[in-house]
Formats: sequence, C-alpha cells, structure tokens
Amino acid sequence: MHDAAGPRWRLVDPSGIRIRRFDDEALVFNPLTWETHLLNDVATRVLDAVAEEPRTEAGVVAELYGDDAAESARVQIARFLAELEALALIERIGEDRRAQ
Amino acid sequence: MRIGELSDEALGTRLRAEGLALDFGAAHGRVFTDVPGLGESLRRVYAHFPVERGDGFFDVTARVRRARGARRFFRPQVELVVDGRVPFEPFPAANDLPLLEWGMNWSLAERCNTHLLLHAGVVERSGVGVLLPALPGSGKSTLTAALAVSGHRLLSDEFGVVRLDDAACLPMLRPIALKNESIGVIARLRPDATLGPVYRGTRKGDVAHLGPDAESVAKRDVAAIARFIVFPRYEKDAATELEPIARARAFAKLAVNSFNYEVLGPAAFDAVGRLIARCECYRLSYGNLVEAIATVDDLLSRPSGGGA
Repeated sequence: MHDAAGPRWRLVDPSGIRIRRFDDEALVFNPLTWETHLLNDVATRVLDAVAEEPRTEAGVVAELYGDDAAESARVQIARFLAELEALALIERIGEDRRAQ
Repeated sequence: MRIGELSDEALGTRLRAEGLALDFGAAHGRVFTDVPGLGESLRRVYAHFPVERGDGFFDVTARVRRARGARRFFRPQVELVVDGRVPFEPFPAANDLPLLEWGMNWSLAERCNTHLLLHAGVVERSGVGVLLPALPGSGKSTLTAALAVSGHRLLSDEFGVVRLDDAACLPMLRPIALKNESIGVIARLRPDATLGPVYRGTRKGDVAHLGPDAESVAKRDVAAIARFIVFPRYEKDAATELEPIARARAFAKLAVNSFNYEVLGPAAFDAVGRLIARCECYRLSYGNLVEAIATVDDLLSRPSGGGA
C-alpha cells in the first residue's frame, strides 16, 4: 500500500536547473552547487516527474510505472528520490514535511 | 615577415627590448629573454608565425632569464617570470624552451576564461574538426602531431578552446611538446617536420617541440566546427580499435578533461552540450600510429559525419 499522503518532492531550483538528454541518459547541471551529474534513464524520469509538478513518492511511482507498480519499483523510486535529494537537486516541500 | 625570417640582430632586439609577440589565435603572448640560444630555438618552433608589434595587450607575458646565485658558475640555471610571477623552480639552463612553453601554458590555463578550455588536441580537415581530449600520458600529443604532419590543420594540442556561444573550436596554436619516443616517431613520419631542439632529461623526460606549419599559422583566426570527438588511448602493441561512446558519457569525460569547466559553470554546461550534440563520439585505442591516422582519416571521409 503506497502512502499517498507522504511528503511531496519538488526541484530545489526549477528556474536554474539545466537538463540535457542524450539517448537514454542525461546530464544535469545543479545551479546551486555548479556540479554536473550524469543520470541514467530512471533517475532522469524521476527528475522530470518532479519537475512537471510536485509529487509524492507514490505519485512518482504512478507516473513512471502506473498504479499497479510492483513493490520493487517503489523501493527503486525511493532510492532515486533520496539520491537526487543528496545531490541537492530536489527537496521535500515544507508543509508536507510538517504533516508527517 | 615571419619570425623564421628575422635576422639574429632583429630577433635579439625584440627579445631583449620590446618583446617577441606571438599570436596563438585565441590568445596572444609576448616573450622576453637574454638567455643565449633561446632565441634560435624560438625562431625554429615559431618560424611560420608573423612578426608583430610587441606593444598592446597580451594574455601572457613571459621572461626567461639567467638565475642568480653562486650556482650559476658551475650549473647554470634559468628561471621564468610569467605575468610578474615566478611560478616554478629554476630549470637547468639547457632546458630553457621547455620551461618557457610550460610556463606560458600554465598562465594561459589560468587566464583564458573567456572560452571553455579542454585538455584536448584539435585538428581539422576539409572543414571538419576533430577533438582529441585526453589526460596526460594517453598519446594525445603524439596523435595530434601525427595528424598535423599528415595533412590536417592544427588548431591546438594542449588547449581545446571552445567558444561559449556557439561551441566552435578556436585555434590556440602552440608548439606541440613531444616526449621521449614520440620525438623519433614524428621525425620518421615526416622528416621535414619543423622540430625544435631535443631537450634531454627534463622533468618529463626528453622533450622536443613540433612547430605549427605555415597553413595552420595562416588560419590561426579561423574557427572549426568539430563533428567528431575521439578519446585517444595509446598502449604499446595494442590493436587499433574505434568504439562508439554514448554522448552523455563523452560529456562527462569532457567536463573532467577541462581546465575551467567548473569556473564557467552553466555557460560551460551549455557549450559542452552544444558541442556533444553535433558530434559522434569514440574511444580510439591504438598501438600503431599509422593505423590511428588512417582511422581518423576514415572517420572524416564518411559522407554524413556528425551528430544530431
């Protein structure tokens, strides 16, 4: 069962971030750290989903894999969200953090 | 008039008084020295460069002078003053040109942040540019020199200069520092190549400089559009192998091979993105230089070279 009410994720700096896709990979420039990151296809799609609109983890899973995604997909997405957060590319929205 | 045509007196006057001006294309340098013999070495490796005025603005101003102290009597040394600083310990006097060339490269790498500087060779043939990025020790300079003496226009060896707004490659035309076995390899490949003196036992082994040819110097203000990025890797006796590299991986490798990617930030990211988007990217392993040249020539002969 997914926690649809969990924290929502958003880009840290949506106006400054640069994403350049090449085939099934992408380079992402973080305007805060000035670092460039090489992302695989799934990580890029997670970033795209969050960039489109703030989403919960379940919302990202649904966007990428549909409503009937396997548990393994949820675990994978949770890991990518954590990694993108560690790179300071995405963050949890404050109100939702307070609601936890 | 070209530097190679200067008389001893005219060359000496410039080196001691107003400076020997050098137009590299993307940057300008000026050299002063009173070290005996260095002028002759400069005349050889910069033979085809035009004689220009020594006043005005220069990206780098370098002076090689005899080091002071008692040591000068039994083991003479030279020191480099570049842009008012002494960046390196003195060198043996016999290694004056390598000291000057390394010092100017060091200064250019620090100064030229108008453009993205990649650690890459760049050559061009029939309007198609090839970028050869690599870390030191990978055979980049040897391959770049080999291509330069085999009909390709040389734009640069040490610095792949990428203009930020359109990702065109600009010449940064400097002598290529060949090391150890590469000196003989290039001399055999092209016996009439403009090679300077061989400096024995420098910090990087034996070094000789390949002077840019007349055509490359004449086109030092002409940019090239790269259509191929080839990461060379020399391994003794290795088979020649050309493997495609995913563009995203090539992007990451280029960023690592840059002098100032992190300084330029978003502008560099955009420039590398534009550059990669129009290029096919490969890794070239080679042990035979003639085969490596043929492989690059074959790439350039493809009717529809270029990326998306």
